[in-house]
Amino acid sequence: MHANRNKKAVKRVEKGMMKANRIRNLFAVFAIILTTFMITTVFSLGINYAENMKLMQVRTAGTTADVSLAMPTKAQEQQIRDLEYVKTVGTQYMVGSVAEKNEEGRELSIVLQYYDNTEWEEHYQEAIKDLEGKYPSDENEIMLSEDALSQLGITEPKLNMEIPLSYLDKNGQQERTFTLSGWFHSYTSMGMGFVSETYCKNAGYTMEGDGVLSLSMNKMPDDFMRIQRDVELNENQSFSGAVSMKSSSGSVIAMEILLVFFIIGSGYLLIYNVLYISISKDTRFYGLMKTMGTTQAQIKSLVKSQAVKFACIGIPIGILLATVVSFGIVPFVLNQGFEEGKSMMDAEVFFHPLIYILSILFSAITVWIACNAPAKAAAKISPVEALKFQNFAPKKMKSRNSTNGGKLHVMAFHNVFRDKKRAILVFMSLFMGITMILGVNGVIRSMNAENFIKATMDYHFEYSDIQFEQPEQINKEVPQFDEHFVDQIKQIDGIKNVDTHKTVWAGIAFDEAALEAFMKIKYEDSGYKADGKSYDQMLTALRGYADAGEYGCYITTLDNDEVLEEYNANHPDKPIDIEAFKRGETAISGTDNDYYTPNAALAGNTLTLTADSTDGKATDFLIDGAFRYDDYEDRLTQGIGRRKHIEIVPNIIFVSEAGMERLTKEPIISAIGVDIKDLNDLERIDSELQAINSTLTTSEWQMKSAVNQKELFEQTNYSLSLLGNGAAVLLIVIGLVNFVNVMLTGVVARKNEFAIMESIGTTKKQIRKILTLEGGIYALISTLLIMTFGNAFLLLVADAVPHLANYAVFEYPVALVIGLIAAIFVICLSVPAIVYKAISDETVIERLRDFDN
Amino acid sequence: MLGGLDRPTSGSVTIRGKELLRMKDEELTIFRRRNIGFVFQNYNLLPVLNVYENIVYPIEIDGGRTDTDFVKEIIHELGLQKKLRNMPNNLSGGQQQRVAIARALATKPAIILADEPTGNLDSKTSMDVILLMQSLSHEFDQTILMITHNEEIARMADRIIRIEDGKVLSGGVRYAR
Repeated sequence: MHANRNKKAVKRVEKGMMKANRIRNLFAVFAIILTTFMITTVFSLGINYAENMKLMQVRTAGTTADVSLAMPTKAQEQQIRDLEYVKTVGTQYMVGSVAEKNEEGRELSIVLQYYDNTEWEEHYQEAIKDLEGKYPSDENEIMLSEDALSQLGITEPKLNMEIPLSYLDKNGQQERTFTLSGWFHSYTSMGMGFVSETYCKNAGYTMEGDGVLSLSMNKMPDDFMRIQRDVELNENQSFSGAVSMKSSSGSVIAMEILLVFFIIGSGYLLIYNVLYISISKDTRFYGLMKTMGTTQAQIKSLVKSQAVKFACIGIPIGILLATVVSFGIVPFVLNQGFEEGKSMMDAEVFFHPLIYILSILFSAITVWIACNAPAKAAAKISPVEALKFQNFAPKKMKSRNSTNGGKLHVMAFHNVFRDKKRAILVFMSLFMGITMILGVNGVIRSMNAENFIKATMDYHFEYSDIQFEQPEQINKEVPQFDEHFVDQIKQIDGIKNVDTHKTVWAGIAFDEAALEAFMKIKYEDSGYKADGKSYDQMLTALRGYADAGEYGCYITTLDNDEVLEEYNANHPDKPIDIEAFKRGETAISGTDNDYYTPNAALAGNTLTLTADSTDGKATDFLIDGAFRYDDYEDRLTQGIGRRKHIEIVPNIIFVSEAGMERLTKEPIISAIGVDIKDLNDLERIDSELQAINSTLTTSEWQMKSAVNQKELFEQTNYSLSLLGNGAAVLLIVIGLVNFVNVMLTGVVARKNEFAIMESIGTTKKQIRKILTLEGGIYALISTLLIMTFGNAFLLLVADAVPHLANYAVFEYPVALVIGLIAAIFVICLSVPAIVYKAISDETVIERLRDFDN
Repeated sequence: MLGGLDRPTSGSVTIRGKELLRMKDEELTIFRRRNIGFVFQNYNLLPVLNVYENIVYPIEIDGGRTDTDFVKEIIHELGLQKKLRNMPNNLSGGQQQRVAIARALATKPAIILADEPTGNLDSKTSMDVILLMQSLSHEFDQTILMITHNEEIARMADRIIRIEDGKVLSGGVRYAR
């Protein structure tokens, strides 16, 4: 049989159809363009985002190496080089640091290093940008980062310019005039200077004494664990590695798969819809073709070859558009964004062939599966059926046992489900679009600046007196802030609250009985024991400190009821008497960890504290409890150090304001935490605070501002929010186009049925009511789907979000859910009735006649 | 035009003293469902409703209470008792047309307009349907206005108006019975 001998004829029919269905063609091509565009942009932005994140990680870490080992022995080095899972081995020498001060008297922070060729080329170059010149080869040559140059006051570097430096190396203070062999832009917070191999040789640097091996592994973090097992280290050595948080959690993968599925699914529905509708419209035509002897295979190929033609036009246009957007508009917008917040990290656009391969593949597959079902449907149409074909007639139902089917709402209900495929299509397109929007929005909102700041800071602005943060503070602390300063801060508009921490150093009476349990635990882990001294020898040493008035620690205020209540919740067996603490009778010592609890052993004992101030006198405090590290995480007090480094003493003791009053009337303000009401005021308040800061005459303090955190956050997340919002908008458009399309054709196809209903006396108002009710049912069921499956997806998102970024906190988007559901109802209730109005302008008889032909 | 489905370009249509031309679309529709029953060549049953629902549909959309006894009587008369739960597309042409007639009768209209009610039926079924309509018109005292190309059927009517290409050729002649 030559079933295909009349290919030409089929081609001719196809040509005719393409000509006859201009509008349908436009719709189909448009649907494919939209789908391709969406898939391509999502892939390209997604891959770019991942690459940018990786690049940023490399840049902030300053290396692409995974693991480093300082001061390796020759044997270790050889062993490591021989390990098959170590990809590259670079060497670094810590040469020294620049010892100069700038005009304001601050010390410069520039480190001098030597990197060997492998380290420089394989591990470091990716972490820097704008490299000029070459790596130093002469002893006198130096290469500096832009940051180092600017610290040295050089704004316009030139090759071979002279750079006199005074610096420290292993041989002590040095003065030397280097010539600049090159410079680059680095992203680490420190100024970098590189010297040559010759310099290191002449100055006597060795691998064992000054070197660092930096290794990149085949598979992190597994290889990190492996190398720790395989290579034996000396006492003070350890491998250090950045085991980054990889987003390999199951929920993240599940979320990503679902997102991709939803994107492709929406595209599929759109294309399927357009093709399917055009085929059901042409049912009579296909029936006729069959009557005339066209085979099923020919009809199938007729439909498919039309789809292929649409794809040939639509996919390239979609990809072109996406290219323009992702390589033209997005980088432009990104750079705009980065310029605003002084570029710490530039947006690089990666041209990945993978993007195009994936997009073309996915778009083509989408078109193929989307046209497959309609093609089959067209091929299966029997000539007889086709001639008496009525659109959307219930196909399988033979009879129904009801008598109330004529009621409007019942009719509406039956209409929704008369063609189950269609109903599912509408529900799916609405549900997928909305769920996708909710999911993407949930991810974006969880990673907001406020959460990022919260995770890295306790307050929006943190002042601290750095005298209290020293490992050893030789001089008595001089107050840096005064009450007037705090009042000035409080007066700034938009400030929510200002917390002050007051601290005083107090001597602790060396009561051996009260301290015994504490000291015994401390001794076990102390340098005394490590040095082979006995417990009694330790006591003698401590007594010596006590006699000299040096045995004591910083006492600081804790004025936060929540912390106390949380403490009692965490320690139900040994709660503290909150009231007694607030009255100033008791104190809490800190801070223990899970395996080391000396402070807990202090609880129940009374210590006699004497503040180091003019009015300090011996005051008894019952130690009522001990903080574990996770009971009270306050960065302002975590930094508090010691006046004298005595090992066996509580690190810090917390008292209430009243307790501090009992100790001294003149404690020192050691830290100020400032919270603001609205994050949008951050920059303004920052500059007002800077103005107030300039009135301070003291200099032993620092202020940490959330502005930096916010900028850092905005730089790193700009592309993510752009990608997410872009994808969400696209999905809204597709979901909407899909829904309106289905509704529209649902009404248009039933034109004749409505004419019949009108002819036997249904008013237009009643028909509109039926249509509105139908829309309401669509909306209601979609809402139900969103509230169940949509929320289940959101749960997954909530679970995945913390794996994407440690500061991310998922919040249920209540307002958005309500808003979207309201929007669904508005659209579902209004669109069908409006469409009906538009098509019912002809008289009933015209429409009835339309049907007959 | 008589049925209020279309509007005349000139002249007027008056039924029960009401000028159809002057009515608004909504009024016309309501007038139609209360006064006129339709029987179409292609039956025009609503595919989403079963037979019973199709028959009572015009009453229900009018918000009226179904006169169950009357409807039962019609159903009985048309022999549709066993098909009430069926969906229209599972019925034969003759059966569908009987449902359409039942629907037209259910509202007790003043006039029943039948546009080639037998156009899609074979001759035996056609005759059954016509006979049925004739006997029903007598039983329920109704006027049936029927359009047909079939001489034989036309001759069964009380009055015949011949129209060719839009012009009345003969009519007004009363045929003696």
